[in-house]
Amino acid sequence: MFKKYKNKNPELDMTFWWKKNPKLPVDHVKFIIEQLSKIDSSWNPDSRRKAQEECTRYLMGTKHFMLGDAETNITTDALDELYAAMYRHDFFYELLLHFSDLEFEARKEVILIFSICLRHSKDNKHVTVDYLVSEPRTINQMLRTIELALQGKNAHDIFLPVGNMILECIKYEQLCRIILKDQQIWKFFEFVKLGYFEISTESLQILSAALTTHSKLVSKEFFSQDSNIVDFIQNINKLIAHGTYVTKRQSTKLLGTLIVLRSNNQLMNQYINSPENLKLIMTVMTDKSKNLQNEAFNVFKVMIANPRKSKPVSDILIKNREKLLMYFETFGLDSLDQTFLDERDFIIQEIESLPRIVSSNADSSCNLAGSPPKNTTTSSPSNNNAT
Amino acid sequence: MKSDNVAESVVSRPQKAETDVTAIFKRTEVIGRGKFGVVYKGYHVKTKQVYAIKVLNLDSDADEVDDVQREIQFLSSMKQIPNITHYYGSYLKDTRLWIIIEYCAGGSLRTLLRPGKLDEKYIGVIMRELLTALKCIHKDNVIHRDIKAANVLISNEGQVKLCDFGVAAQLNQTSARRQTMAGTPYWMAPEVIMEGVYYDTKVDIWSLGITTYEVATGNPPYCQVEALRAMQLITKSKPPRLEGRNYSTLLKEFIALCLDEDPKERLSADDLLKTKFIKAHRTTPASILKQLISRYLLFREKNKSARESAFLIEDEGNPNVNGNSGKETTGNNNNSSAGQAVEVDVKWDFDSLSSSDYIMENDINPEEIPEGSTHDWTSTQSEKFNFAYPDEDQYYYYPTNNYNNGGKVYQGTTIAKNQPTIYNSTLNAPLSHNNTIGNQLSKRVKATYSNTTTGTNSYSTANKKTEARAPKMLLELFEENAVINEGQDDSNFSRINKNLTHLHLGPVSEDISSPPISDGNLARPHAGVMNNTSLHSQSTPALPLLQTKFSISSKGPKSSITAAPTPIEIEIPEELPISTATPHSINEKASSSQTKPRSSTLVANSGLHYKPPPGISRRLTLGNTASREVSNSNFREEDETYKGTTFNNFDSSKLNSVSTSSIPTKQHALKSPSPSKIFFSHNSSPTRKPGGSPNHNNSNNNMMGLSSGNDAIPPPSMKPVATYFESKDVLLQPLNNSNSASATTTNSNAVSNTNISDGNYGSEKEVSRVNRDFKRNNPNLKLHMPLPTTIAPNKLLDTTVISTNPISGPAPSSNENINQFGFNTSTANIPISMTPINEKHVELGAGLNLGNTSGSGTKPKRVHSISNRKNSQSTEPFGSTPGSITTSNSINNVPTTATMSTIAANSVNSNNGANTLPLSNSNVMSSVVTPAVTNSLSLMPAPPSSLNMDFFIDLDPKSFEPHKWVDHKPQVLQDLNLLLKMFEDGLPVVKNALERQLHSSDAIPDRDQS
Repeated sequence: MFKKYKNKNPELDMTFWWKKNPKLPVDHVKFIIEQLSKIDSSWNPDSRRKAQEECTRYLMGTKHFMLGDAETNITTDALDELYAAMYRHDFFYELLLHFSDLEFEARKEVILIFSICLRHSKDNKHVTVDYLVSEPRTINQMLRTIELALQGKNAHDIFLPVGNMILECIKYEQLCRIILKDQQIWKFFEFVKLGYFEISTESLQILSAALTTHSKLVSKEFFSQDSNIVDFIQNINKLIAHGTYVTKRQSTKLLGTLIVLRSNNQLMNQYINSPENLKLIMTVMTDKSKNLQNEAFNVFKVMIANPRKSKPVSDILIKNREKLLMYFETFGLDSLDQTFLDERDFIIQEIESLPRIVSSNADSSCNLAGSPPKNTTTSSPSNNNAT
Repeated sequence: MKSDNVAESVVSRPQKAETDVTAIFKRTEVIGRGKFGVVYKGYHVKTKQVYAIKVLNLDSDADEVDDVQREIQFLSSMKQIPNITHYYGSYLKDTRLWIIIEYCAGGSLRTLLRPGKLDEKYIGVIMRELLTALKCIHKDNVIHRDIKAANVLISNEGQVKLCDFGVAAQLNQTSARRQTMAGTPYWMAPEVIMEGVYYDTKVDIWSLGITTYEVATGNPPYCQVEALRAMQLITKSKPPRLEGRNYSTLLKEFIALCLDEDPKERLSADDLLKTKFIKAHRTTPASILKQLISRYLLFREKNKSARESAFLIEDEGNPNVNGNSGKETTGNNNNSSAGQAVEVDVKWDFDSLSSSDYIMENDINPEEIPEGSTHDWTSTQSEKFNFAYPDEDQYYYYPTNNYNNGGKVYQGTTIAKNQPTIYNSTLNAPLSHNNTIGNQLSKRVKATYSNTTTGTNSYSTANKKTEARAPKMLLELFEENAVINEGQDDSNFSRINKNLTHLHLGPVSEDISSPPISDGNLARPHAGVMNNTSLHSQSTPALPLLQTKFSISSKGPKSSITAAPTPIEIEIPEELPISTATPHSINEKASSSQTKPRSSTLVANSGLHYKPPPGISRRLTLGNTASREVSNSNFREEDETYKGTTFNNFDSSKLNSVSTSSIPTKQHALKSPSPSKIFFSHNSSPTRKPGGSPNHNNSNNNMMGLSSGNDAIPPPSMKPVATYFESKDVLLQPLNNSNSASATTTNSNAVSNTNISDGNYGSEKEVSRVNRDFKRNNPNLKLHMPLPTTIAPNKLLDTTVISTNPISGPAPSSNENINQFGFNTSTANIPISMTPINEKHVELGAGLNLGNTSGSGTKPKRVHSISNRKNSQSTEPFGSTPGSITTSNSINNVPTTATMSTIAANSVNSNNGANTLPLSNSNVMSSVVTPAVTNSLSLMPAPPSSLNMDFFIDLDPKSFEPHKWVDHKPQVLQDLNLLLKMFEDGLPVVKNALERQLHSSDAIPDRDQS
């Protein structure tokens, strides 16, 4: 209370060395928010910059309080007040709104403060998480800020820190739920395609973290909706088909991890029964990168192992039986991973058990599948394999 | 669709990300070549601005992308930190990532050191600048973890730039410390090296201190020894200090402040900036560093020869890469480069600069150029600077799983080539490697030896199961009726694996007679789980020390569990008849089945009457188990020989190939705790076929589930000063071998010994990795290992205890027969031959040291290890002593050349003629059944009479009247000295004999060696 006057005269503060002028932690929150609005309102670049600097400074001060390495030891009560003030003022929401206005260093402080907050627990409860659940707009804003970042000049400088905040959130199931419910999550598939290496990898990292960290949540609530499954398949296929090497590899890997989870068997069933998906995966299997081939194999094996393959899928497989056998003759030979080898052997066995095409006329399914295998060329290797 | 607008808005931005990077940047020359990438000098096409372009091939194992991503995040989050190489962006072209970073024309500080040490004013400036960078980095809670002169670049203007955040780590608030080992050994802080110790940003300060030392003296401390030894020295010694009158006290103080053992006491970057040394150079402008650049340029021009040696890179690289985007070769060794996302360790070169140009451009007064620039360094001197210690790249340790380099260095190409075999190993690898062997073996065993059938059965069935696993896992996906376990977030993989594990637990614990086999089984199911993490091909470092280290300090969450001092937890099967088994106590267990005389050990064997033996020092972990394994199968072997079964031709060629393949690397020999293994693998190759038959059993078993003790145990005492120790080993080992031979007239022991060593050797690389990976990937799993150590020895030892106690205990000196030597040699020599090689090592070395005081630095440790043994056996008066002292016993016999030669001849005989084997075995038996003295006495001269039983009483104060304890000490020492002298005298004899033997058998092993 007795220091309140200083808040009203921020100019005065600047004349003092920060550490000689300790404030109550609570006041920091208010002050930062004031400065944020100042950044917004001031057209004068000087005062704007001043406000930015102030923000940075106070953010650092806040961090020091939270870490307990401020020069004045603050009581736990004061710390609790600080947290309460943050929640009360929607501190992070405000910060996110002005994220692009913050200085580079200030953004780092925000991330740090945010992650400290997330981990803060009182009475065995993650207070901040609870708050964020009750006020989902912070997280929603987060997802929008990251999108807005792409329109700015320094896309990376905003995208990466906010992305890190999102990744922090994903660690908590309740927050991950909010993220998955937000339609904004689909935008990340678009971000991947933008072609900036950092942004692509970060987006994919966010996607896979969101979809794999809490698999129960994902299977129960995300993939329980058919529309989500459809959208996911459509989006991930785009990435697999048109992405850069890294995109292809990481998205195929993501697909592979999701599809082998039993809890996701709705997704799996939908995916492996579509001939288009099979074609895509088979195409990726012929990529020149061995690593990519391996990732694709992890999806392909599920399709092969499916005892109830859909007609179009098995048609494609039957048609390419010999080619596949030829492919697997050399595939993964240098690997010594026993599981992989076992799987490979099993897959080969499955392929061999597929019916052989006697003549192209006899099998009407050829026409349905539409991919033209050349039976004449492939017949001889098949004999080799059969014996 | 939904987000079309976003995509459009971005795509429409002026700089399109899709643009081909080769159109934006042009590369002009190679300036660095690293483990997995190339660094080019290049320029922006439009602006003509010069950059360094690091090109990495991301088509490698999975973790690499993540690592690169992490590094880029570090770089981009540090854009505003001063004195760090600025990061401009990265572009993906096909599978290659171009990382655009600031170009520093001056090259690395390491390069600039080539002309000579730096003056203190330069050091002051450099450290000042580095500290400002470190201050900011640490404020962001980032640890660089690899500060060294090679990672400090100097720009054209003399600015200091810290580079390479490849192994940097971000600390978060909740766990503001790290545990994994990363960095370059010589520069590592002790707390980084030490197991299970958390560290924080202070490790950078230590490295900075080492770097200061490096630039002041030309090399980091301990540069004369190889990396592993250096790491030991770092943890064990007092922190290095800068000595010498030519250094100012300020500099010395600065280094001392950096190199404080206690991280808490060590000053922070902030505080270091306030030290007198830094303050003294506060006003010196960074631009004086330009003089260093010109000094180097002059030096380079003057010194063509040095240049040639120092600039291998230059020769390798093709300077005209301009536009050859697709063709550059990255490192060539995909195996070793897998997953290394660390920034290329740049070895800068700047041919584009000539000294005169530079001096003119930068307005440098040549007079100012410091001493050394005109000094005509000979090529050797420059080599000394550059190559005096092994190239640091080779010893890079990554926070992740990649320790390949170390292994590569030590193991040489053959083993590196073997890598793929071991690839993905974990426990799976060795097994799959030996699948055929194991199968054959098990079948034969089944046929001949009924006791082991359970084990083999379980093996084969398990084998089927594991084979069926993958499809099962796949098919399970489609079981619609199966209830999806709600709480189960795990993948099916792990679930299945768990099941499998359970399945096999039974067999394993019940069937102790074939533990290795079931171990293999056990191991296998986990392989699936491990796949992700173990994707890197890891050459096994043949570095015993490191491995445990790594297994302990593996990354991430698992490390918490691995913090236990033993690399692998060993669980004793509960069904064990006698021992109340607890996982950790095994190693220290000194008890054994005391009621069994030697003859009954066989019975015990079949009856699964196992107890951990006394003679084992507590440090033994895997080594113990390995050796026990060996002894185990040794029993079997004996049994089988009685039955007249022949294992003779069993796959010896395979084993041979394994062992011989690893022979060529000399470094390995130096490294491995018992170099003598090499000797044996040579030596034994011929012998194996006829005589050593069943011993393949041993080696196989070893290979399958167990760690060879040699690798798994990091014996600090076994870090020898290279040559000295090696030669000694070769001598010692044979001695030991002949020991057993002479004592019992059985060469089977010797053979088994060699075989064991072979097996160990071959398995060394696989098994050790197995343990590591296994451990890392299955932190929660306890490996069911066979009970540690040699059973035989224990039994024997116990036997001696029992039999001698009644007789010799009351009246120790009365009975000649029960004299130490006769008795113990006959019985205990078997244990000796079966103890893991390095164990033997310890004993022998200790013995030698006692007599020799040979001044090898290892003495204290060895002695210590002996005392360890004693400790572990405190309950039994004699239990331990035979193990260590019988050695000297037989040593005693050695001096007589005649015996030696006969021994040698004997061994040769038995090697060549399989028919001697049964005989020798029966010898063993007889020696066992009848208290044996006669046997051994017939072959060797009696030991000095003064060496009586009672002198062993000294070693155990508890057992007898305390006053005797004092009385016998001097006498014992004297006797020991005598013995050791004799032993020493005998060494050349033994050497001769064995060399002769080696030569005579050379004809056969030739093909093995080739």
